[in-house]
Amino acid sequence: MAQEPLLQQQLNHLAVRAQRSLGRWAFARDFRLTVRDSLVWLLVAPVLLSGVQVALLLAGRGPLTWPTLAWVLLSLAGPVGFVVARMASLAKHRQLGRRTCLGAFDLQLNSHDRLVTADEFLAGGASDHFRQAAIDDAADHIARASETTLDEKALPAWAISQRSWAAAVVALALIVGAQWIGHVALGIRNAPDAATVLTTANLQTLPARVAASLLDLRPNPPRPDRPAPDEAAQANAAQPSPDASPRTPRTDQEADGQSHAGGQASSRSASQAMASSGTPSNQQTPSQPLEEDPPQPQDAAAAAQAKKAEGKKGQQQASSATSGQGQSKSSSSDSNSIPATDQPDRAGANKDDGKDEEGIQDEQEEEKTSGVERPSLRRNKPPVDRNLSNRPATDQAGPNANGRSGPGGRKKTRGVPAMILGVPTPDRIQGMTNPGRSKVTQENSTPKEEPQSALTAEERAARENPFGYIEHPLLRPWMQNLVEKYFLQLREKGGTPPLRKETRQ
Amino acid sequence: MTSTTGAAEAREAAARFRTVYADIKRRVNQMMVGQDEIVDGVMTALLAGGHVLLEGVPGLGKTMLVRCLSSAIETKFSRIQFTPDMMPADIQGTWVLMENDQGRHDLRFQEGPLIANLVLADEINRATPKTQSALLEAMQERQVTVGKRTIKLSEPFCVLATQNPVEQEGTYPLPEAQLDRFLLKLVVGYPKEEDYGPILDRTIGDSEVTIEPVTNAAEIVRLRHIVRAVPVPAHAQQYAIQVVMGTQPGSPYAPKKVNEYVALGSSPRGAQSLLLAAKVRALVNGRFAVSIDDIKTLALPVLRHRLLINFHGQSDRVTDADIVAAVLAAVREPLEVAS
Repeated sequence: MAQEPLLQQQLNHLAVRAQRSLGRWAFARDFRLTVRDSLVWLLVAPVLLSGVQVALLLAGRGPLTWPTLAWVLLSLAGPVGFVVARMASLAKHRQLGRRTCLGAFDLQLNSHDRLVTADEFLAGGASDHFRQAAIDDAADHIARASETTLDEKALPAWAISQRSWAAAVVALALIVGAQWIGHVALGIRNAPDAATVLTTANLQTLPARVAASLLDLRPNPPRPDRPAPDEAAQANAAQPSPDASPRTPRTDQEADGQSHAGGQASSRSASQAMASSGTPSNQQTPSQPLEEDPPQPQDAAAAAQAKKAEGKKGQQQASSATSGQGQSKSSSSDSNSIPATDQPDRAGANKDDGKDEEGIQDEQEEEKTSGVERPSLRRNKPPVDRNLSNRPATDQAGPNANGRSGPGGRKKTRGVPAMILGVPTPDRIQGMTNPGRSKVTQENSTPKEEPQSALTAEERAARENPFGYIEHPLLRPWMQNLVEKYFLQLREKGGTPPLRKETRQ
Repeated sequence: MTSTTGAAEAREAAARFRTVYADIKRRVNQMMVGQDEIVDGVMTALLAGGHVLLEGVPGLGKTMLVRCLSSAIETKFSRIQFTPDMMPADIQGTWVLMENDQGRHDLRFQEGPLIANLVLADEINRATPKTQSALLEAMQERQVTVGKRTIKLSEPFCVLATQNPVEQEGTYPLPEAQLDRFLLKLVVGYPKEEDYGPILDRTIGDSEVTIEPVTNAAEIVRLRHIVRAVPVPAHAQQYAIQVVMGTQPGSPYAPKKVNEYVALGSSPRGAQSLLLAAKVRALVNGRFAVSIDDIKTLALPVLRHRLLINFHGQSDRVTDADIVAAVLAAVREPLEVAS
């Protein structure tokens, strides 16, 4: 009892020593771990500055022209800030409690928590014999710990992960890239004219938007010949297209000799080809910002001719691709009149589509209720020829027709070979058939009472025949012994076994 | 002065405990060779007031160990060889028609083998669940109820069950409720090479080893009271709780392996068993309080049978030992510096 204050004092001293030692170790460990994790933050400043650089260029302002050292220092500010913030947070939340400090001595001396246990029992008051014995038991270990210095604990290695290395490399690349963009933009900004701009800025390597922005950076030359946008639009509307066709859509169809679907397909593909190659009519539309500037007169004329030629070539390619075996009858006038011919057809088709959609919805509902998928004839496509390309069925054979449904032409019905399908024809009916429309309706009905006549019980006759042989159950050995002993005792006493009533009678 | 006397009494009780423990172990080791951990485990369960399940392939001395222990302690010992056709009445007892002194016959209760101090339940997994369940009341409540009669079992009562993990045909795995009632599950392994010689010498020779009792049931009960008096420091109790909670999927201490592979973790009875067994170990090692080491050492035998590994775990061949090791690695020791 007398040594308890002394033990308490020794434990306090040990706790202070351990706290100092462990505090140093924990700081060093946290610092290493924090530095190891901080390299990723190198990316913050380069990413932000690169974004600012691009934003400035897009806004038409001058680029950032800071020296490389400034960029690097700003990049390092990210990891440094992270380390400072994290170390401050860890220092605030680091808890080296008394138990942990004394436990360090326990672990080092392998004393099985005797110091921690004694400290706890001393603090709580040794209320029973075993607690007091535990405190006494710890005295020797406390004395031993007082003479011991805590070993330096191992610190984590300065291992930098691949992710951190990658972050550093990416940060460096961002700095270099942002500076290069700045230099290029600065060069363009100081360039004398557009020709220099186009030669200086490599449009193949810069993003398209940045290039467009760069073009806007140069000083705008005076444009005396340029008409007002409204005037240009009016002039375009009044001036007919040089290739405009006077023919009506109906005459186009008749001239082509093709079905309605085929005409639509060819005209659509032709229009796509025109859009990609750039037709004169497209050039006249005022909505293209890059083509707003009127070129020089000679250049403009040459470019118009070249584009016209390209447009014709593209239309021919498109029509030949559409009609397959070189049976194209479309011309440039056809393709120019496509928008006019398309309008009524599309309108009609849209009307039909409205009806079709209702029908499709009805069929889908029926399929849902019946649980069986019905064949959808609406999804049918025209059959394909041997080349597996959709083509309207015509009787006109192609130049390579062989009479057996070769390329082009309808199959001839002659002889046995004609009975063999020469053209691979896909199934026209998709899905499974169902037994037909079925509808399930439920009706409420009230139960009806059905009268039933009462049954009369029959009289049961008396038994006439014997039961037959009834097997007696076998007695187990102990039962046999019991019965044997019973009768033996009865015999010894001179008694007789009780008789059954029937026997007595 | 009072506290000094109290500490002396505690030291004396602990010394008495260690002496009896060492005596029993010495007697058992006259016959058992190379199974020190198993002997320690069985004695820990006996002195902590629990039951023990011994699992191992045939021929490793499970039954022999229990017989030796019963010989070293002067108590009422009984052995039940479980078979699939065994009924609860066969182990609990039943009413039988018996003849009295007057030659008349009346019904008397014939006690079953379960009513004893040390019960060897050999090959317990061969009995049907109905018969296995008859043990539940005896193991937990220390009483047997047959009809309207309830019989209090005398202390110490300890069930030492054995089971063979290999022959699974014709066996009935113990239900979770019964497994939870075993304080420890000890897996008996093969002896080492150097242990084979003494084993053969003691078993196939002409001389027969006789084990004399060194203590009795009353002494065992006194030792159990000493065990209960051992205090558990707050940090050790906190660690035991966290370890037990670490086996429960979804708990804040459960590692990834537990969340993936464990369907059912340990109940609070696991924490009780862990600390009770740790108290015995502390006394055996000459300490007066439970330490973290005791809990870590006993975590596997105490918790392994309280875990239910799910289908994913079984398909990935995850064992209960893997789970307990993962829990011990995940739960931070209270004396360690927080990372």
